[in-house]
Amino acid sequence: MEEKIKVAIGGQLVKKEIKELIESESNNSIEAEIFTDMDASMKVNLGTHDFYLGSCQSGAGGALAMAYAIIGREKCATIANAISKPTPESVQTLVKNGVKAFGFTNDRHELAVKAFVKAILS
Amino acid sequence: MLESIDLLKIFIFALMGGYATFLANKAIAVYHDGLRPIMPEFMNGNMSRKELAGVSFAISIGFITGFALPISIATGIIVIHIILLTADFIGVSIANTKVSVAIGAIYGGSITLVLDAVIKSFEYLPVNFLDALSAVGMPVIYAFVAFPAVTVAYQFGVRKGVYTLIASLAGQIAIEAINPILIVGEEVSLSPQGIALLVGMTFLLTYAAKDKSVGIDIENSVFEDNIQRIKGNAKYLIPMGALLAVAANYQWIAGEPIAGSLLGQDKLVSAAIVAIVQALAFMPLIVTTSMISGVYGTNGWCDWLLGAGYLAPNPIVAAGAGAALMGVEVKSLGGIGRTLHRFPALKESGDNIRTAMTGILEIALLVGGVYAANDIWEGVGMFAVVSLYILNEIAGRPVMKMAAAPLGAIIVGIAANIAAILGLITVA
Repeated sequence: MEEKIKVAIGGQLVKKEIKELIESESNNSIEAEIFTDMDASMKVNLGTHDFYLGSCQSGAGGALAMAYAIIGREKCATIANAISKPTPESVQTLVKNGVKAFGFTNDRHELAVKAFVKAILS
Repeated sequence: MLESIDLLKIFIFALMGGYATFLANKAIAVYHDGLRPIMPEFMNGNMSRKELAGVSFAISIGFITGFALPISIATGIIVIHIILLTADFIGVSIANTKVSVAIGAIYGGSITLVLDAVIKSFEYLPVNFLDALSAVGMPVIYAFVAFPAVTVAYQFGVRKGVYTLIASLAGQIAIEAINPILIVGEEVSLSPQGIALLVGMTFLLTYAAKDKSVGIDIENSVFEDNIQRIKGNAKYLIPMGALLAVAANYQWIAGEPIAGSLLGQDKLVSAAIVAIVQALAFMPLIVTTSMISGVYGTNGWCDWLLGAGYLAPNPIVAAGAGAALMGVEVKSLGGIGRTLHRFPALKESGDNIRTAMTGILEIALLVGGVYAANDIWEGVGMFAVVSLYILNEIAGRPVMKMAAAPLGAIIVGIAANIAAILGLITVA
């Protein structure tokens, strides 16, 4: 059996809601764990987790700051903020291009997590 | 109208706008926490000024129009994002320091005039809904006390959250019952909200201290150069701390809606407590983003500089306190970075305080917005704001969730005036 995809949740806001949404949207086929943004970034760097997800009020600062520094800016993307909305297709393209860390606003965490889960599972 | 223009206010805001622009232009400090981590890309030459300006605009505009502006108009206190986010944008988009600082200063000075004029113009409306609008912040004033209990529940489970809530409530009710008390012959009223917060925060910190989990080791040397750069810039950062505290001392600015609402009702001590606790919530974010970028936060840890300003007896003491606190921040940067890393539960609490405050604001401002709108136009107001709020949700929140109802109340106010002009409603 294939190993489950593992997500490390960093960022700052609504971490629990993100975890629950990942699990329910993926029927528990994606594993999600909550860390501080530093630890979550390190987990992805060390390879124990496949992706980093984080939210804050801008989708970039508290959401991705540590990921920028530790995982590398070219592997980070803001997928939802006050003006932009994600689609499963746009997230899929990012994943194909090697993006490991996704940031979004707490206001749009539902949209972002749903798009992320669809992109990963399809 | 001319005599009511406050020259000192214009001067201080011009100074604040200009100086914050200078800090952004020289990459010494930016206010937006999302812009800070990107600054090194620009400083290394991987990103053009035009791109950086684009990012700055994109991540700031929503905060200004969808958050700070409606709340500033509703509370009458300028939410600081209006000044500092714009200063970021002006500073990073215009290369020439003198030109950008001049524009930043003109903006800072004139925006206070514009906002004051907007607020003043309410008097000339057929339906003056300014007083009604101030009700937007009313639920916030009492509901914010819940945040330690909500944070505890979020991080350590519902049961511990309930204990914290009961203890906070007991503290508040007990103080209300014994107020006013006699201290050396003087009648003194203690702040019931202050006590409730104190009790709640004690619970939160106690639970957090019991969590002994440890973080993964990161080589701190990655950050050492950045920390040194910020320390070298201390002389430029300290005046910003003084300026912010002075403006706060005059009760002109707030860092976020809770303190803004409290200030609007002259609840200075509560506003100061909120501002100081807010610093606890933002400190991890400011410290980590600064360490990875070498660029500091224009408002420091966010809001304790303002808190010191609210409490200071006069502008001179405020300036000294603001400068000193900014100095303390810069000096302790490396040490705090290491501590946060060693005790993840502490950092997690900071993050969760933000989640709790956001949740409380979303509900309190919704209730306040509905309440205010109904005060402006009975029946129609409640109907309109509830509908607009849900429409915003369905549309994927083009307006930030917490600003939707206050903005709805403003729309109802404008609609009531149009209706009055058309003779559809009679003005009392």
